[in-house]
Amino acid sequence: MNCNAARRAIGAEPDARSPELDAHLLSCESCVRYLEETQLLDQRIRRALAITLSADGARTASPAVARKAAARSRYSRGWALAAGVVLSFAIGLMFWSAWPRSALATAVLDHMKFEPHAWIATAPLEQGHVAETLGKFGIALGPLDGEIVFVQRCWVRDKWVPHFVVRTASGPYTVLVLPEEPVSEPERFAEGGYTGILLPAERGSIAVLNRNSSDPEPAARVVLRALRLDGARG
Amino acid sequence: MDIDEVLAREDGALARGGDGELLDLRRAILRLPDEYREPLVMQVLGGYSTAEIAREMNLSTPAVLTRLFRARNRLREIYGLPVGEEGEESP
Repeated sequence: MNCNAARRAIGAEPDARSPELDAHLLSCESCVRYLEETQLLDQRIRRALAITLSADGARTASPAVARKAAARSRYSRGWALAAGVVLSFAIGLMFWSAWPRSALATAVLDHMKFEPHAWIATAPLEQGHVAETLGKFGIALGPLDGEIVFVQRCWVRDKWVPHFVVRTASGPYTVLVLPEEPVSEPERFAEGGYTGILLPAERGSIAVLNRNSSDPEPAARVVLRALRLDGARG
Repeated sequence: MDIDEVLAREDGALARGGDGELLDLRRAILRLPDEYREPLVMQVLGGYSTAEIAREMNLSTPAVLTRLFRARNRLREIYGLPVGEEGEESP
């Protein structure tokens, strides 16, 4: 193994070891330094993900949505009616995406980017575990139309908040309960494959997002009805 | 690795203190293309193995390794650290 191969291995899996890599490290100080730097970088990444980034302001519609809308607009006359409906939907999505977003919605989207693993959980969690995790926040949750497959506390806008994912027949959706973040009215947002909504809650608000571009509001309303936030604390 | 354990080990003051270097790093992570950021976060924060990431992202294992390597290379640049050279297996 030469230095390039060693650094590719380290850069991809800093904690992995192989006999070839170990043998190389025994004779190469610069690659040992490269390994130490990379492991330190990983520590910094973990720490960086524990802090909250302030809002970057509104963003424009995603290129994918724009391309979709452009493609829709090229439909032939024979498909004009259907295309019109679809185009309206696409334009609606673009409008939805391009609308200036609140700092809270931006923070929610930013948080989602750091938890892709939340979306791929499939094993239903024990109700006791879910209740215990939410209970630490003074929150109770009634039955939902689906199974909770992920739950943990997350650091969002300088506060720990509960975050859970519900698996349903139409796909998973994720929920952030934000008792210290009041919103005056529903706010929709979409970016990076996420479609979400912020809804006013009994205390603060909730954010519900999905990745299948469907309207998140019905699921959000179900969650809102199932949540008991009277004892909620941040 | 449990994300709770990772975060619990962090000093709350760090999170509240707005460490400039870490904020810069966080922004850099946010700016990474999804194809690089997602496997990196899954590995570093989620504790996923390369094989698990490959399965979940519907990629080959070499493709995941390449993306992880490239993601770290981009972040190394922030610190002025030497970056590794690309291999032939890059997809």
